[in-house]
Amino acid sequence: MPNTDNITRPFTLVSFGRSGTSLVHNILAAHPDVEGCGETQPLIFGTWEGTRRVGGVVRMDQSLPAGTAHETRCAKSVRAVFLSMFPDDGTKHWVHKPINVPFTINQQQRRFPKRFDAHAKDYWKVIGGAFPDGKVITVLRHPYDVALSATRYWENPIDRIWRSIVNMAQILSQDSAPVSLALRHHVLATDPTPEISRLLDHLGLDHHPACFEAAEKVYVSKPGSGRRPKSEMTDHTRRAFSHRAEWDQLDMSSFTDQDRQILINMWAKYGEPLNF
Amino acid sequence: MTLHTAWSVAAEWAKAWAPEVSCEVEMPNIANITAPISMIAHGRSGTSLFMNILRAHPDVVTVGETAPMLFGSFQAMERVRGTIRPDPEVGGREKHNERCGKAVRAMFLASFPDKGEPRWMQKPINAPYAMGLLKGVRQYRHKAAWYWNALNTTFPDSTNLTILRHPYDVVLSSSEYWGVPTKRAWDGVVNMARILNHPASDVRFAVSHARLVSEPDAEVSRILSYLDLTPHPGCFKATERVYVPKRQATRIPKTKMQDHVARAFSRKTDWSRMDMSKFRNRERDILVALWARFGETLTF
Repeated sequence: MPNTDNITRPFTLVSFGRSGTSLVHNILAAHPDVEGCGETQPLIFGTWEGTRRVGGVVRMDQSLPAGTAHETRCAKSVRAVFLSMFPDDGTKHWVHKPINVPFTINQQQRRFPKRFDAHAKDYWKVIGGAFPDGKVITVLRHPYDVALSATRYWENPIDRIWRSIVNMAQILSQDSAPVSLALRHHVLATDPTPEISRLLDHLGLDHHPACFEAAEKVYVSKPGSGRRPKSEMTDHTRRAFSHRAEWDQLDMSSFTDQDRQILINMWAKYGEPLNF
Repeated sequence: MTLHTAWSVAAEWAKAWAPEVSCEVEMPNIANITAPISMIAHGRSGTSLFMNILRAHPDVVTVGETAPMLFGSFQAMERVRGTIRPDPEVGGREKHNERCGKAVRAMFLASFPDKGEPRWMQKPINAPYAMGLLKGVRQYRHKAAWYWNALNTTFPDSTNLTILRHPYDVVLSSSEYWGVPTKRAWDGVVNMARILNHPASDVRFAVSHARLVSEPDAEVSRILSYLDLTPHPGCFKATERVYVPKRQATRIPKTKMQDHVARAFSRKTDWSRMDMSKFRNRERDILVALWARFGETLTF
């Protein structure tokens, strides 16, 4: 779990929800050297924002050198919250998944809709500030599958889902994004062993059997469903967890060609082709 | 246990619990973190004057305007209920409220690692921005209930008090200071009164801004007595200055502000220039009720 030695260097999984993030999180959390902390996005960004807003109106932090940027203090707040929220149990590494576009950025976007690029830069400033020594990874799943799954899971309007998927792609597309590995959901679904090996090698973890066994379950296939053995979900397995047969049912009226290009470019940045 | 020993023990606890904090005795510290003095009011009511009176006391450290930190972070933590790993020390989903309070306290301990004073004071002024983000909560009384839950869960032993200044003066000053329309400032003042009037509010003491101006020594004595603080001369001397009369202007000796002093810091002569067309009488009633709660009379 986070402790003073490893608080600055988590494994951070950044992606849009319904992309296979629970699967990746559970693969890593199955490793005896890794603890999984869960979905931490509001914790990071809400704490940062709460501290950011008191810049100049609260007492100086006298443990920091004079002239230290207030962002340093925001980062320190975030780490203090994590250390409190997840008491140390001696585990060497920890993983968390701050998935989806942070609510703080969504607020900013509502106020300044044309400035998303600046908000996306802020995203990495926060992640990098709070956890400067961490490793950041992502997982790529076809956006149409993500949209279908997200619509059913969260029951949000489709235009909102599209916006969130595209905004997450804009965040991942930033030059400043320190994402060092992109996992492929369709490979995790069809041939998980080499993809898990790639993940463990990247993170410097040994190939513990529990990580591979973790891929034999399906996580949160719908709200409240928890972990189910793949063997009980033959329909999902047969179609490799793709919703391709239903793609034509998607309302794409608010999903523009420009949006498609943003997603194609983001996948290309991580060396993956994306076809619509 | 001597005070020194108690602080040493507290430092050890702090080292174990919030290890990033430099571990001499921090202030706030693990022993007093749950028990701040909290000034709950709308800004431009004299809260800086109150804070500086306490800042002058050797037993008190003041940490400033903490509302976004306290409420914004509490809400951020509420949002991860059920989606993060349970805390073995506190519990899981069913104990999440306590977990939020614990995390906010840890953040305060990390943010204010000062040392020495046995008491600490904060002023989480104004209705926090986080109240506007509460999902599915529309009625203000429910938002106010959330406010008190966040405050009382985080600082269960806090001594909460407020300061009363005529709302029209507060609106005029707020409007000028923050550059907002008078209606928006008025709404903020009324909402703060709604929070203070809420059944969950345990505010039992109100400082009078008018008396701090007209008879400061008596009012300062009353404050210090309520807070069980010795009547230190520095606290009385603190009223000889004016704090933040406008942006970038701080700690100006009253002697240099004869005009303000002559009108007892009231703007009564400007009231008639204020657009009150959207101020409602039922909102005035909320403010009258707030003042009555503390035995004060408010007339418009």
